[in-house]
Amino acid sequence: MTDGGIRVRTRAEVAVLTRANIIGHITREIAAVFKPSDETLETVLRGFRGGYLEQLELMLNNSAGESVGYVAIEVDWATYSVALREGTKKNSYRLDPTKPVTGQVAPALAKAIAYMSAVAAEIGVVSCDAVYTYRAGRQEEGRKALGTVPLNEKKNSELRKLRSEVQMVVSDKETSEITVSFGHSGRGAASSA
Amino acid sequence: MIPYIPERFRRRVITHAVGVMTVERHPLLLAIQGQPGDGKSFQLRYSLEAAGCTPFTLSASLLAGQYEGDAVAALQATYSNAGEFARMNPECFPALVIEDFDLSPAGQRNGVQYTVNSQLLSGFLMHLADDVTSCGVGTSERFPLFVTGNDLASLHGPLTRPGRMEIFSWEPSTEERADVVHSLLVPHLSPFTRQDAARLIKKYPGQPISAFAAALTDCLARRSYEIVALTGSLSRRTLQRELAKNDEVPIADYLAALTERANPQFSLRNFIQAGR
Repeated sequence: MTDGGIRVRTRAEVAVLTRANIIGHITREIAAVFKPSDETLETVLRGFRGGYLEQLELMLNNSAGESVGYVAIEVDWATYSVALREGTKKNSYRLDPTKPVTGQVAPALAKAIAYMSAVAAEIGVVSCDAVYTYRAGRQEEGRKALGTVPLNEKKNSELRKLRSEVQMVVSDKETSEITVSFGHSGRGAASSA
Repeated sequence: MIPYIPERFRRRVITHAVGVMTVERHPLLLAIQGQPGDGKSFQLRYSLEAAGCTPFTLSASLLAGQYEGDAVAALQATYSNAGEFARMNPECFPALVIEDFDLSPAGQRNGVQYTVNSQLLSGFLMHLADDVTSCGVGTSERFPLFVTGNDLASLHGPLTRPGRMEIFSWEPSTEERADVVHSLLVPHLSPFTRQDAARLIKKYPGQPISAFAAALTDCLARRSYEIVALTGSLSRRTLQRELAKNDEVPIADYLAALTERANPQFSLRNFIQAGR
């Protein structure tokens, strides 16, 4: 379009996402790094977008079936609610649907994704087990919506051990309600950041 | 601690919120008008919070944008935020509050030129009151919308018609004033009874409730100054600790501060003396 020598480039393909949607997409993109099943990715997206989940923990497995790493994605819904109430943060994002959401909204988390992706390749992550924590008061509703099952004792004790291996905690100021923690046991060829 | 709120005020606010929630054609807007300083905004916020509502507050100044349609966009965004908040927190119920609404672009005073924003904002509010679903706010839920102001006669007529807006004129009675002033002062003045509060109201007729609160604030500020002078420290923590130890105000000091506020001496001689 031209007007008096000024050219304005317009792009028709723009997706407008609300803040809750953004949280769902970012958590999904982070989880996708660790090769979870499609059902897990769907559960992550629906769980965070619908406000059912508070935390997602991933136990990262190598080809021998050993747990070699740990990722936790936590959403602080109180911070999210304050951002909505005070109007201090954006609640509507116009995005390019052809590019990852994280890179457009939260650059620090995009860098964390790149780093975790490199480490996951080095330590040979081939699959992961997902553990979900529901928000207080939304457990029953969330279980019905997402269809999750209780964690068994063996996995629970493995998870407790993995939690102590966190080496990196990242948050982006644009999406301050999302915190990502990452750690690995050092097995495989991975070196520290 | 939730401060004392007159029952008549609290009941009117809650009735409106509950009405919007449960009755299909209940007016969406409740306008609370009254003299400045009688606690409309303050009491509204605490009434809503005490009832478990989450207020989404918007000051009229935020409705004055640089461009045409900014006012509508700001209100639309706040309503949309409230909608998302309700979706993500199903146990909570949001309410929208616009403070000093008569000073917003929706107010149309004589002799003041108004912009297209005034028409757009009034139009949007009328539309919202009639049908939330077609307002582009991302939700079909109706949330109670409260507006406060000193003179709501300057609003666009059709906006205030029955079915869209209810108007509540808040003029606290002498009894209500005495109750509020008593609850305000009793933690700081000792002994201070309900009868003392009633006598105070009688002695200073025409003073808004905020004048009684401001006189107390004056005394507490002076106490802070004395602490600073004594300790030589401007540390906020020290000040808060010292004030928490003893936040009682001598009645004579309070009365002097109130008299000063009620009868301000703006003579040149007083200014020169204050300067010395």
